[in-house]
Amino acid sequence: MLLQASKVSLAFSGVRALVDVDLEIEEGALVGIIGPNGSGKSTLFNVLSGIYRCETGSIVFDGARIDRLGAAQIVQKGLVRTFQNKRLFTSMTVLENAVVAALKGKPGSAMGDVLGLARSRSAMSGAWDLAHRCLARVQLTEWGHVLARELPYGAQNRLEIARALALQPRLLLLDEPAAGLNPSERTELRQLIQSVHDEGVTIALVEHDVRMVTGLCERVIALDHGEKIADGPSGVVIQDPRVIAAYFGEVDDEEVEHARG
Amino acid sequence: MFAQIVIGGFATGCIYAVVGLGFTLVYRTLRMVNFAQGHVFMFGAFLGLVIAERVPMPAPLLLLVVGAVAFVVGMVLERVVFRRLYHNHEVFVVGSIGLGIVLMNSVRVFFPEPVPFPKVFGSNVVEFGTARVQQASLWVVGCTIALVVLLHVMFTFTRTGRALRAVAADGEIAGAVGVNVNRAIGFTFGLSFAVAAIAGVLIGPLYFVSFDMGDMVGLKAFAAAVFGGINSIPGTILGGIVIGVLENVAGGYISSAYKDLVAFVILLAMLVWRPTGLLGRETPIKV
Amino acid sequence: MLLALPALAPQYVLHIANFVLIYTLPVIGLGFLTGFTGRVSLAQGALFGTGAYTTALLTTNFGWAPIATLVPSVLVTVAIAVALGGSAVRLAGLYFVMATIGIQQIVWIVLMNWIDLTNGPQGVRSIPPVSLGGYALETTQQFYFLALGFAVVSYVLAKRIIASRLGLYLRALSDDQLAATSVAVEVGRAKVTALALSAAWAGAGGFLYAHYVRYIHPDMFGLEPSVLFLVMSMFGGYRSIEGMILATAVLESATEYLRPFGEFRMIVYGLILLLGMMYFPKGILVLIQRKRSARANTEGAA
Repeated sequence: MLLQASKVSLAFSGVRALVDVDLEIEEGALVGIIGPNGSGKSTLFNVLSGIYRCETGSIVFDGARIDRLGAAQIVQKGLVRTFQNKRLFTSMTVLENAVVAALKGKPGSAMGDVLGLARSRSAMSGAWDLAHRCLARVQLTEWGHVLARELPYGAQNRLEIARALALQPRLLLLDEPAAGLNPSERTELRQLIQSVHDEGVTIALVEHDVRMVTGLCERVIALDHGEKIADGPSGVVIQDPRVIAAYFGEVDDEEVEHARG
Repeated sequence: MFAQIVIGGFATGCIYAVVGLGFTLVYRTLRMVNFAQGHVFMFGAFLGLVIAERVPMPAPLLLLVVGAVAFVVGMVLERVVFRRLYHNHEVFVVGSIGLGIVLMNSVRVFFPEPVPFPKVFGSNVVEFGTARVQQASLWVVGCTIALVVLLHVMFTFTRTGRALRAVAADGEIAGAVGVNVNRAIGFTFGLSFAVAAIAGVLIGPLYFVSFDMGDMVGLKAFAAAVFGGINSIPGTILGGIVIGVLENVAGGYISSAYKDLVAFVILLAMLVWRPTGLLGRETPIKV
Repeated sequence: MLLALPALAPQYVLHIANFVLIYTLPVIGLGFLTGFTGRVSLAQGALFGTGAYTTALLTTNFGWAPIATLVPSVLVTVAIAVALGGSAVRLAGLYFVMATIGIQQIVWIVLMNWIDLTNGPQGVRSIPPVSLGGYALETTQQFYFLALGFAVVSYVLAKRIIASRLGLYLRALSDDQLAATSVAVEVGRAKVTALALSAAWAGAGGFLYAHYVRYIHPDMFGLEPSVLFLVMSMFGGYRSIEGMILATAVLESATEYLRPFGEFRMIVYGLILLLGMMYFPKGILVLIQRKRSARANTEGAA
């Protein structure tokens, strides 16, 4: 079991954002996480990646407890996430954005860079190589020297993912990567996620695009008001009345038929 | 002796508190710090000096006149100068420092040497047990209390005051419900200038006035505001008084050379421990 | 051309050039914090002063050779900066500025009042010039070469540091600190390193300064030089070392040429600060770049 979160809870000024959430993800899985706005999906990612600290519960990643660790340390262990509202380094170029990430775990130091020491130099060139490769994966090679803030929206999305790949993740948390993309971009994204998964990266995908989720993920988890309300095969979960109710409010059978159709 | 020191410190502390209020008022509304504040204090002192020497008038009237003039100057400067500095914190800080330098040296042209201030509050010395306190010091404390009460009344009961609080809480929403945000900000600057100028007149008779008196006082008032909570009015008052008293006590009993250190050590320690200050409420943005 | 300056220029121009060269050190140092870490510091004047005082005291009280005091001057300045400011770098921008004001004042007050150590307001006199191999560099011309050497080394070193991974980390964290943490940048350590670098450059500048003016006192290291350095660092455009050097040259020359005007000089200086912030908040160099690209656009269109 690569990731095991037990009874994770978190409240903000009285609002219960996560309530006793249990989550297990096996190595090599491709799991979808769905739920209406405000159901706690992003909060869950924030807790898993160390940006928020959960109040109760524990999170074990690759055999080690991470719920008390800081975000940078969690990333070092191989748990990587992307952000829903792309947090790129706007004043830096596309390549530089990727290189910052690619430097993770590399030997050498800034002092070594300045003095031109061999270990630092080879580490730096290794990082640049990795950055180039990750950009190529997402078709951003021609944009390498463009400033991140000047990228069109779809390219920004891809950079966010490229940067995550440069961190060489074992578990990748994708937070609504398809938001704002047109249909052809979505298809490309689907293929990208599939190929990354095929390389052995475990992926948890938060998405509103239910078709993408069911197309990619065998297993889907549904959240509502901070609680896990369903967890199982994707075909079953999206027809679960509780899940449908969460999205559309209380419905009667006729509306359920209509939604399914 | 101890009582004397404490009371003296209390009076100085009131000055820090009142000048500090200027910082707080602007910070609450704009989240920016106006480093010309100390020099406005100095300007108020000289304005009071010039008026008092030419047109003798009772002290309360002098305070009112100086306050009013400073208020107008504040509003005008907001419109003409400060409004162009809102880009970010750094620009505002450096720009306001520039303004302060201009103010200070403009006064210096006319008054290169320290000058005595007319004793508009009388020259009597009052005795409280073993302590001998100048009448002027009592005026300082009294006026500070009056100012605090007036401000409280204004903020709580008047429409203008409520508008200012709304802008301080959330400028966008305030604008959406019909508050004239620009005018409110101008008003805030006017107020902050007025209180600093009044403080200048209050301190005048106790010491000489000189063009550089705003430097240290401004910085210590700033320390007081941060210490008490730069977005909290009662916090700033408290901070000023505490620093004033502690400074005097340290000066009297430990060493007069290092008494200036008190304010800044407190400033630094408070920022590292609790950036929003003793009574501040905002969540500190510490990562 | 720079090397030929002593032969070509009159004494007073060389004198100003020396100050420009000296000041590029604390200004570039500050640049590590402003442009690359997104932090404003008003303590650079005081740190400049600790470098100056360390070398002054070691050479006059303890008879050290000036060259030998360079390293201690830098180390003492870094130590004081990290001790007082290390916990403050993690604070958000505005609070950090406030903290640096505290640091500036504390150091200045100590310099002014610890008479036994620093001689207080009297200052330290008769600081010896720097000697290289028995040859003292005391005239304006001789010092010029020393200062030029320091300036060149400091420039090259700064460029290399910015091109290193630390430069990448600092730019990243100043753009988006949360994102930087999420790509495994150790933000806290990077910030303290930036602080230490800014102090090192300030200390080295102070060392040079002390051995040029040969008499220092605390008023040279108050809030005013802190503001001056900050302005030079900001006017140059926030991440351009070249811009900072240019701004230093322009502003220092302007300050010197205005010297005969006494208080009016300060008024003009304050106005430059104020108007500069009002109308050119992003710095001179950005303005030049914008003009260049605007011209290119019109040329391209024509």
